[in-house]
Amino acid sequence: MTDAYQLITDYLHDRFDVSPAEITEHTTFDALGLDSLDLAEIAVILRKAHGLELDGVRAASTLREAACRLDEARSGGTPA
Amino acid sequence: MYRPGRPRSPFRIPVGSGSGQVRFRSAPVGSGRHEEASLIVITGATGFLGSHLLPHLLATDEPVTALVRDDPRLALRRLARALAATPAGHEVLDALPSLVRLVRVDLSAPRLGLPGPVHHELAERTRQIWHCAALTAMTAEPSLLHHVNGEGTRRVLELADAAPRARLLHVSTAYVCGARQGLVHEDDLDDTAGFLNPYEASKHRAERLVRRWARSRGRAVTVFRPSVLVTDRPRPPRTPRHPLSVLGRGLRLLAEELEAADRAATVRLPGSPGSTANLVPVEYAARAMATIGAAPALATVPDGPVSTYHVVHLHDTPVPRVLEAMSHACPGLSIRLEPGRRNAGALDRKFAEATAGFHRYAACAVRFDRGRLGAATRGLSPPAPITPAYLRDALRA
Repeated sequence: MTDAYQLITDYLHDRFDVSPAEITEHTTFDALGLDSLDLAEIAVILRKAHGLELDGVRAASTLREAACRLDEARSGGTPA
Repeated sequence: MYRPGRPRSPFRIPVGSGSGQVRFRSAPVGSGRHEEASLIVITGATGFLGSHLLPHLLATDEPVTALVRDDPRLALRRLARALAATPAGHEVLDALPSLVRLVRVDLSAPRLGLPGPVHHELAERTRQIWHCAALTAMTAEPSLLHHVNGEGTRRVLELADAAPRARLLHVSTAYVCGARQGLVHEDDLDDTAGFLNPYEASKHRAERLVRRWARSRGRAVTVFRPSVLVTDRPRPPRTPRHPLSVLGRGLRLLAEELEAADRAATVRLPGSPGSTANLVPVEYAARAMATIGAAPALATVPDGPVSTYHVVHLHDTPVPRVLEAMSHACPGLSIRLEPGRRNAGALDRKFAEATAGFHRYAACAVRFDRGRLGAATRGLSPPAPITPAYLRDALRA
């Protein structure tokens, strides 16, 4: 699993009280009970703490998709 | 999935409620009465209103079936989280899997997406249908709002059609009155003033569907029109939001931006100091609806078989009081009312986005008649006026 995935799941645990048992990489934010406002908050924290943009992630996105977006942001663009 | 006749695990049957407390007594395993009893069916049980209403419905001696969109295991977790955030929810958490049967449905599909025999069995046993599910995002795509709120209501009416013994209790909104000003009576429903957002329009259309259905079938329907449902209790993570909680979250995000830009800002909203909003504590609203639902449907009302209740606060809340609390939630932001203002600048647009459509209500001066509600809930103490401290807590939730 990537650092980005770990970053997201750690944050879900700390801020949203999500237990590891609730999570797989195919779990969606919606299935965890998070909505678009929660995602906006996560995006702000990631931007402030890590300078990363969480663009294109919606409540229906999986944690894996969100981690991929973060990895893309880290590498400076969408992989070919 | 719904399995008619499925043996139930040990459960407790609620025996009544008082002052918001729900009490339960033990019942034998696999009680035949429970198996054969008529059902209370509810949509939207995992939502803000539904989760406050559910403990009251469980306080009857009838089994409750919640129609949910998720896989039942997931829905049960969602429901447990939502109930844990309500005053009476803790009372039912331990026995939740046996107290509430969860049936996965698609509210936009024919027969709710259920196999014919399952839909038939559900309808045959149903005594009450509480339709609480709705998309309440005021600025969502109109097509999505009409799909969820309109089509969802259509499918619930389909269930009611198949349930000849059932009384439908439809949750609408006081704001089906749209942009009307002045006093709105409980039987009024017209769209001549237009709507402030597509949410209002979608709920108006849904209520029209319900009324038309009731008249054409001669069926008793209770329509609840709550105003803005709020609470000042803290909101645990991953639980349903209320409109002021949405507003507060948007303001905090806006505050982050202002802080990052190191500047103060002033937003000017079209409105006047005399504008009011009707905010009603959800705890009171749920209790009032449950009280009305527990009484027989009104036999004769001016609007045929439909009895409508404005589930609203006795006292309107001045909009300037709300704005003051909003400024408190967003340091650096000053909010001013300017009568007749039309042209919005960039910050006004950002504010409108952050507050999810609230700005349109700054010019609102509508009042809601609550005569029928008052008569039907004489035993309930109306809530205290909404204070600045209440608003600050509600925005913080």
